[in-house]
Amino acid sequence: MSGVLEGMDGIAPVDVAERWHARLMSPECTLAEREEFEAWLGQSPENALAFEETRALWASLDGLEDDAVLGPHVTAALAPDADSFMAQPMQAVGAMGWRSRPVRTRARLPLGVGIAAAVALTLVGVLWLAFRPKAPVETYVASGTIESVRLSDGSSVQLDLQTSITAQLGNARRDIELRRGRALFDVARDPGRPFVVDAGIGRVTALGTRFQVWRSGERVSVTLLQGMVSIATVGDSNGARSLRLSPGQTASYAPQTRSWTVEATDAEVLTSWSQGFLVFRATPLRRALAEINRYSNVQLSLADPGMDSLVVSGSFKLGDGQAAAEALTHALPVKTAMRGGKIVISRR
Amino acid sequence: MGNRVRLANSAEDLGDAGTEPQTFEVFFIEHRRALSSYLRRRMANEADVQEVVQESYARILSYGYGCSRPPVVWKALLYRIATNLAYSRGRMDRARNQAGHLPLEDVELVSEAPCQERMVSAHQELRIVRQAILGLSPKCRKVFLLSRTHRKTYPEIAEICGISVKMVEKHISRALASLRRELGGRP
Repeated sequence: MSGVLEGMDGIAPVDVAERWHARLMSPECTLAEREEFEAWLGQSPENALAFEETRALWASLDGLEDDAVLGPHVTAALAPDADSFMAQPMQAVGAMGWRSRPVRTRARLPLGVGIAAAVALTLVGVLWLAFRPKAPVETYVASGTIESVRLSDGSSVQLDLQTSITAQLGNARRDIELRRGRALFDVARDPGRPFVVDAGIGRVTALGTRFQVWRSGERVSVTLLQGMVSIATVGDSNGARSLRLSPGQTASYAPQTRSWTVEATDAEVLTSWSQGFLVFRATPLRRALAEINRYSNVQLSLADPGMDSLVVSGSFKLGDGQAAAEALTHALPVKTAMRGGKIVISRR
Repeated sequence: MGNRVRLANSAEDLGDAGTEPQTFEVFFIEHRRALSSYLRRRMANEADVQEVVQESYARILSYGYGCSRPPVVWKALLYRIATNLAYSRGRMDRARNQAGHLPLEDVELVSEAPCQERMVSAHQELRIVRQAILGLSPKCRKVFLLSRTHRKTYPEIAEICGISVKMVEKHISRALASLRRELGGRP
């Protein structure tokens, strides 16, 4: 039993929900605990309700920085606690007028109400999807060259070779599906419309940001360059099993263990393809060649597997396998030979 | 006769007959219409209403709708999910109106200015939120604001506050409990 549920027998579900809510945001929360959370959540609708209530509370406390009274506290919170007696801006609540912009509270929308008699649905389930009003779905494919796409919301996407995406920009959500390949997203900020990239196993929700998603079969990796993204494993509709990345981090999904690992990576290297270059930093030679070959009309191969220990650093122009092979002979103790239309690299 | 109709209505509205197990289909049909009209009071667009209704039922299914618990509990969950979804969309509608997408004549006809009663209630709500946040202990408030408003990660917060990551989690949990007690019962 995890720390969250310890000693919680007989405690109201809402107390447990709050502990889970706090726990799930912690990097210390283990996969086993997340599974335990799922089990707790599915145990009863009371638990689910308590957790939804907690989420509602959390969501409702949005925009505090805009409030005249709380704004200074929000700003002051950033100061490190070296001086623990750091002055909290103390202001009497009652002394404040109402001229500030109100904090966002739960919506009571004074908007006109369109009363339309809905046609009674007698079938449930999959049929809903057919009734759902949908924004048009647009498909973009890059096969032989890297493509740049501008979406109607102002976001731009760079598509690597052999990449296809669909985009459906709805009123409430911007849904992108990465069907295969690698794409670098530069998302136009629109907090009311989350930008969600579905890569089969992982669903990436971006909050105004620049990130890359790479999908190859069941393997998915997400690299964040700027801003913030959260990643949820698909099939987890409550979004609780999600992780957050900081810039420079890459999350990779391993289908064998069905789990994500997050590591600090060199985002510049991982996205250099989008600049027309391949950048390697101590990359194993075999992996570097595979990358070079993706873009090259001439294929490079290794003469013997024993060369795996060699590593490559440097940058190579995309698409020119010949020049890359030439450069390798200067950087490494290797020589090249043409054999059957291929460039074979062997030890010197 | 009239009496019978009223009884049926109140059963639907209050869900107080909801102790007998129901199949999902029955549950769906029973609440769909009332949920739609509940949502229409919060959302302007019928298509959005229907989308939220569908999404809410889908979430109920994903929470494992079953007959082991009384329908009234599922109903409460259904409405909570729908309200959460409507809330996140409602903000979008408001933002769009503020951005001035409405032609001027329309703005005058469909005034966005809140009525007196609504303003008072929003002010009271604002006061309660301020009091609740200011009522947290300074450390707890700081941790909460760093997480909720600045969207800092726990390790970042731990560094700023000079405490452990575990302590950050405790403060967040405490803040939630305290805020819920202060703000609980809001619509």
